[in-house]
Amino acid sequence: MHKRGVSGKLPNGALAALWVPFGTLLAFAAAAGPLADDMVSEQAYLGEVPVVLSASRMSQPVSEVPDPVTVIDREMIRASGFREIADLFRLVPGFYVGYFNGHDPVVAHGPANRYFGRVQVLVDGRSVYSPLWGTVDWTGLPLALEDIERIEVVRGPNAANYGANAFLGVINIITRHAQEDRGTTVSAAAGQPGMTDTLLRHGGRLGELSYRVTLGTRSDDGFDGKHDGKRVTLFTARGDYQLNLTDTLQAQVGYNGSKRGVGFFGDPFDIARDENVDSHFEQLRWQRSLSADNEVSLNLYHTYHGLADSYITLPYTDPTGIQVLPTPISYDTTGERYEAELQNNLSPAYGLRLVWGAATRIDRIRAPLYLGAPDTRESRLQRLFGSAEWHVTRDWVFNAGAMWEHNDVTGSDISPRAALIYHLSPRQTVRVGISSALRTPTLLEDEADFSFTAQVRLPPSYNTITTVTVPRFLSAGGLAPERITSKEIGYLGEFPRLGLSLDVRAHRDELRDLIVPTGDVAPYRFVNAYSATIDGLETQVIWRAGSRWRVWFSHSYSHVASTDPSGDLERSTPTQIYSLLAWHSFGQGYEGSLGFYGVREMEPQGDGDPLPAYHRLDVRLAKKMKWLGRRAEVALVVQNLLGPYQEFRNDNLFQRRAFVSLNLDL
Amino acid sequence: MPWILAAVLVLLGVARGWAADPPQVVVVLSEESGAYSEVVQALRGRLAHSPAEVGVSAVGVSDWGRYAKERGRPNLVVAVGLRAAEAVADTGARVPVLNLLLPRQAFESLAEARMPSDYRTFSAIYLDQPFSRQLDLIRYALPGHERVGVLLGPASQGSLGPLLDAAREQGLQVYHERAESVEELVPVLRRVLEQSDVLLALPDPLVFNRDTIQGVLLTTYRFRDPVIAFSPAYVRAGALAAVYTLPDQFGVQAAEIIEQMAATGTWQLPPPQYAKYYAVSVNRQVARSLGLAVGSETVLYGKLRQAAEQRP
Repeated sequence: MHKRGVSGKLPNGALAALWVPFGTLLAFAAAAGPLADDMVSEQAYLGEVPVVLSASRMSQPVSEVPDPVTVIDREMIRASGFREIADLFRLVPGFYVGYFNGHDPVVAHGPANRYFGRVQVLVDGRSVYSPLWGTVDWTGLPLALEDIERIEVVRGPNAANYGANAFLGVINIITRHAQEDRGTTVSAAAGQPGMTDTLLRHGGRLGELSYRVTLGTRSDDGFDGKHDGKRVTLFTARGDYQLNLTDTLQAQVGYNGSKRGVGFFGDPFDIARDENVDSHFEQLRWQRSLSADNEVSLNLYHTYHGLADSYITLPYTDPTGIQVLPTPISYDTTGERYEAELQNNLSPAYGLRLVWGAATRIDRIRAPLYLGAPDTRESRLQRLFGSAEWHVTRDWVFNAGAMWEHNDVTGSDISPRAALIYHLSPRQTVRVGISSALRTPTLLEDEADFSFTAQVRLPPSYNTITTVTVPRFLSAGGLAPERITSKEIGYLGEFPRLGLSLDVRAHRDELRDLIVPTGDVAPYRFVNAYSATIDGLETQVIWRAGSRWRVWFSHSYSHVASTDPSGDLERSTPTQIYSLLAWHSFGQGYEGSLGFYGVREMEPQGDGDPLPAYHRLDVRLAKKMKWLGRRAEVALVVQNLLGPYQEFRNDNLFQRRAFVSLNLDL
Repeated sequence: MPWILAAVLVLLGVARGWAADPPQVVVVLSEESGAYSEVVQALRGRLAHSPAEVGVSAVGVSDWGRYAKERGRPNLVVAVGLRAAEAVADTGARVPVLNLLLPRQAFESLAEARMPSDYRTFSAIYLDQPFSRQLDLIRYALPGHERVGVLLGPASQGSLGPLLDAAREQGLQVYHERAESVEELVPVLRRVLEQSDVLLALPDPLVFNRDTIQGVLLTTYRFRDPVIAFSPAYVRAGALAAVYTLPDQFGVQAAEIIEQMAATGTWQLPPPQYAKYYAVSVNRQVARSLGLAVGSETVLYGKLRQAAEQRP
């Protein structure tokens, strides 16, 4: 094609063509090609283009969201220097992050519990919350940190939108549109302890299809003196296909395969060994966007998570002289989920916006050791939901919604929510909200039949071999869901001249029918008992000074009072959690950031230990440059510059860690 | 002197002919549908209610050649769209031509090719808006957004000079970069967005089209920079706002020019000009999501009019 000169004048050939005499249309047509191509025709102004920023692609302004929300964006992710997704939640007010071992993070809002989580996690609308445990396998997510566009964290219940288990919080991870990544990027990182990460990303376009492929590995040796390293391989692919002006089709697949060290050195039963975890998903999403506030979408997905961990225990003689013979144990589990969800956003009148939809889900779980049977359990879930946002006047916004759910375990329930937002000024907002939610018992809580069977020889003769079954958990079923009612009052202020935004929230969460294990000795049973009240004050401050400084600060204060005499809930909720992340650009491609994180003393539930308060200081230094004409970035991250501290357990000593990464655009 | 008599008779005949037949305007359409037809409809509608008696016929671009041969010379040709403009310019018809739905650059290219170039016989109402108007929109819709980013391509780089002049007058800074290929579009855009508070979209086939719009808008959204676009379609797609002229508004303005010419009977066109009538669109959801308090379309339109009136 002909390139045009700086002056914007016609090329000479075209000029000549315009002089052709009357009637020679053929010559005109020949000249019209290059002419029309480099010249802006009226089609640029009159043509239609697809709706790009539709309701589901945009985030609501924090000042009009009826929930307390923290948004983690790419800038924060990069500045933090974190390489694990779970670590990012250290930046969210009230969120506790701890590691049971090198690859098993526990992310909690309120009481921290390794086994029974109360925070729902979604990746592009896929629930990755395990129905067996009620937790998320963060290490096994088929998701690379680099693929994340932003994370929206709701710091309270929101079952009206997200359904059961959106109990003490919702983590909503949104990945990047394929169109946003073009070209090829490679990166590698290496450091302590035994850490090597590699990543290859490629994005391109074929006709109307934008696609992105990510291939990566992540490995490290975990904590010192423990067998808890990991070797993760992951692959994700996403395609966004524009069918026509209004319809798009998005397809995603992902795989994560990992080998992880589990067990303990010197423990004959829980021996140090490797487990293998495979997970994958397939997702298809069709979306019709008629305008920014009128959209229909259909989301279909399937997820699979399989854990293989079979081994033989070591021979052991207990203090009373009983000899336990080597016994095979298999912790193997598989979990599969199918879901279809239809959603419609619309704005039927000025100032009124509605969202409604329906979903159906099937969960298939196989966990022979935990459920005492080798067969696959299937459970179904149906949902209907709707919510409305009404701008009553310019200053008042009323928001209400509810979800109806029916599941095989606890039957039908409705979770409502309402919030009233008042704009003191265009930049200052007060929000009052009430929300109720439930947490359905996990399969393990409701149907556990979990015991170990071993062969033993009894003293004094050791002649006969006897089979002994040691029960661990035994559930009678019939559990009711845990319930929460959360009341909150929040203030949001924007002070653009100071570059400040402030989010302060006081809340009271009333929890009842809490599911707890009972009994002094095994087998433990799960029952609905106790209630608890969590009072909290959460603060989040963002300061932006020009384009060179960003500072994020978060702080939470929590107080728990429960009827559980054991004090477990009180102890597992740190009274204070805080974080500070400061980023600065020094110019000439240099940037640096400091992350400071602190948690007061606590004792997490689920095989956690009493932990003293700790502080942690992370530093990241990076330099962007051109290398052989390509864009490159070198970064050094040092985690925990201060003295070692304990993560979740006493034997998880977090020493100073450092790694260097190199990122290159090919 | 029989030849004088003859000449007088001929002149009388011509004069009678003029008096009997109203002036003829031919509208040549690039396409006989959509926006092009809206222009003709509005033009006809306006002239129907006018004291000036003007005959209006509309032809498609392919029929224009035949029409020019068979029907003789009209008083004025109105060319709607680039294809029509090129076809009409191509015939070399020595009839005044008023071009509609033609961006300024395209018109100027055509005008230059026409020798001698005289606006009285070859003029236009530009399809694009004057930069002063677009920058007014930025100032009124987004007070405090003083760093205006511009992503240029091969076709739009010619606009830079006039834009910089207009920005200087309004006390706005312009940060611009040029993309040479689709591949470097998003990286270049990122550099622009890092330096600016708002992106002013300038039409360029490389930068803004159906295929690139997703990447461009998603990137601006991630930087939380609003986009000021040049058409309502881009506002629907996710730009914050646009000032633009609707096809029927062009039709009305063209009819007004025709009325004026018919009244004086001279059929000399006014100089090429920007559209007198225009509209403002705002994407409320985008404004809301970006946390921007943008005035209503009516208020913004009023402010733009006021600003234009105050300008010398």
